[in-house]
Amino acid sequence: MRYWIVSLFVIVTSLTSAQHRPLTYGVDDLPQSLLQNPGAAINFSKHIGAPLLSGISIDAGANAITAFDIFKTESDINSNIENAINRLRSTDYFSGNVQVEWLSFGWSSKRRAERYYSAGAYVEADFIGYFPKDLAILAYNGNAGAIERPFNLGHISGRTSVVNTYHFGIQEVISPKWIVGARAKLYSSIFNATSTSNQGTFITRNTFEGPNFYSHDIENADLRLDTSGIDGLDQEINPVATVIKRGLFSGNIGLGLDLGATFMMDDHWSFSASLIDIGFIQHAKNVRSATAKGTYGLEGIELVFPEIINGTETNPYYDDLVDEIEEQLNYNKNVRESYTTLRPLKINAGANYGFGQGFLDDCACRKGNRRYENNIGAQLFAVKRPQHLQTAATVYFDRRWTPNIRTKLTYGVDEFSYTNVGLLVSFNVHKINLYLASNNVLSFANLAKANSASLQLGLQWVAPPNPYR
Amino acid sequence: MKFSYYTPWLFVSLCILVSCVSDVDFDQTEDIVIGPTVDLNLIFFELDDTDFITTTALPIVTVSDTTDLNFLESNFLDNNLRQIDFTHQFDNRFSQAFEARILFLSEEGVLQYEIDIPIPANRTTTNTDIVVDPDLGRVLAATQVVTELTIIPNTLPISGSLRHRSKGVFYLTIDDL
Repeated sequence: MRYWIVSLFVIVTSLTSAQHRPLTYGVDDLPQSLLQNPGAAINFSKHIGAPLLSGISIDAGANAITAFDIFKTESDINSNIENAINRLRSTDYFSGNVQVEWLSFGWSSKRRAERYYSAGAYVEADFIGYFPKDLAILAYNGNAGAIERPFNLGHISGRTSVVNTYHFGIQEVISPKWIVGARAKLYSSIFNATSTSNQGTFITRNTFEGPNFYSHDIENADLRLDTSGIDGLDQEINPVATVIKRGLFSGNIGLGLDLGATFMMDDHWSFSASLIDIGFIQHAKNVRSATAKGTYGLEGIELVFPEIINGTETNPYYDDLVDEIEEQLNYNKNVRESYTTLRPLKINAGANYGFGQGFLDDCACRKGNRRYENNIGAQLFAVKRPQHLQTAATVYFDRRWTPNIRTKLTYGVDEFSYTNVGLLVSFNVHKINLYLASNNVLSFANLAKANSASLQLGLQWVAPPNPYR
Repeated sequence: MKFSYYTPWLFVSLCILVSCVSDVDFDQTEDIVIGPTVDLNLIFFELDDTDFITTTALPIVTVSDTTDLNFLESNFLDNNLRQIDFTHQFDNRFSQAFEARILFLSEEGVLQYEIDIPIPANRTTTNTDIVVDPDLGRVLAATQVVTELTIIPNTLPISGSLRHRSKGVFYLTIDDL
């Protein structure tokens, strides 16, 4: 058990800011840039991804704690844990995201070379959990030293999901200065667990005049955990096959839209922006929720001495008490109502300045789409999380060393780090593209001290650019 | 600057070679100990003279009641509980003294542990019973608790009230996560 906990902790804390992929954003050689901005400038006329290998992205992070904080050898682990519980806030969080493209392809329109179609499918597992500070303190210390201290049940907040996404996008160069694009998405949720809008307080109060020493009070509780895709899985003869089947089409479906555009101001400057995952999923199959709502004060078990009252032997006090608590708090662990989740909306924006030798100077490139040796720029990213907007800012230097080798060096500031240096290498051999990217490379010297790190890689066939584009 | 086809692989190799985890010891998980202390109400009641006086000439001398305390019988407590402090408070407004017996019985009704508390007349009595091994194991083997009160008659009329409050402070040491 403890090794599972350690493994999870190390994975979570050693890998970055979920879904934030500044290294591939705006890299016009990579089809993956279209997933971040359907209106991105691109420099290829067709692409086919290697199934399951065209786009693999793993990132995770903890914004306020590292593995080193807990497992450092210079101090006792129990004091490290206690310090962490005291230091972390309920707004601190752990997050993780894994995305695997299992289908990816695209092509230029034969009739309209300015138009590019792209399509594919990817599975995305996403997790975010806020640190339930008050409950962690309660579990770690107990309530004995915290009489009269309220514990906020609203600190329970987290969401995890595994979604298969089918997508189809179109982009078009609509003028010498503008590229616009859109991508339609069909989500098929494999698994979802959401508990993000909890309220309530637990407090143990002294009751000097009351019937017992204390009143253990749950006040104004409104707790809810929604799940889909889990219920009944343990009854399946072959749960793996069921998960794969649900992955292809689960019945818990949703729709989404990506929008993006690039504006080429002049030969050197361009600006881009996108909105990704404007969408929702309706969970209606294999749903099961647990809810509790109300107020209850526990004073203990009141004995009524039944021999005195009616001569019966004993009362089922304990069972009655459990029933009373569940009734007063309207506890129900078998709610089967459909529910809707919004996809985590992502916002990207970037400004790019190209300079140096143009590799395609002899082509009929339109204004603003010259392939310069060097690009510098800045990018902004935000993703809507259950309790906050997670943001990041990045500056970069992007260089094509040869027509087939390109690197992008980034420096980012986000909630995980103020010194996030990332590096991408993209490499082409006979139209086969391989790219590898990682954030937070400075932390490689000691991953235990990293709040975050990430890895992206992909392998795909990419055809040379259409001369017009 | 010249780049060969091997350059990306050199980059990958370099990343793998230089990346490491140091100054940490994951084996410390063996040493994790969590020690919450839970302060929890248990049973309470209030009796008055009507509970002891009958229509017959002889008063009821002993009253008792039994409740399940199912949570005592759990693997979690068996493995992680190291001490319980039971506190019983009796606010006796009778002119008579009482003897209180708190009996912890197994499911088969076999006595596992007993707390005896003398309750003087017209007084508030607080008794704290600290239970550690080997008695702790016996308490945890119990599934029901009998509260038995015996009034000690004297020449004074039976009149007044007896209020009882109780709690348990459970000291846990969780070291096997």
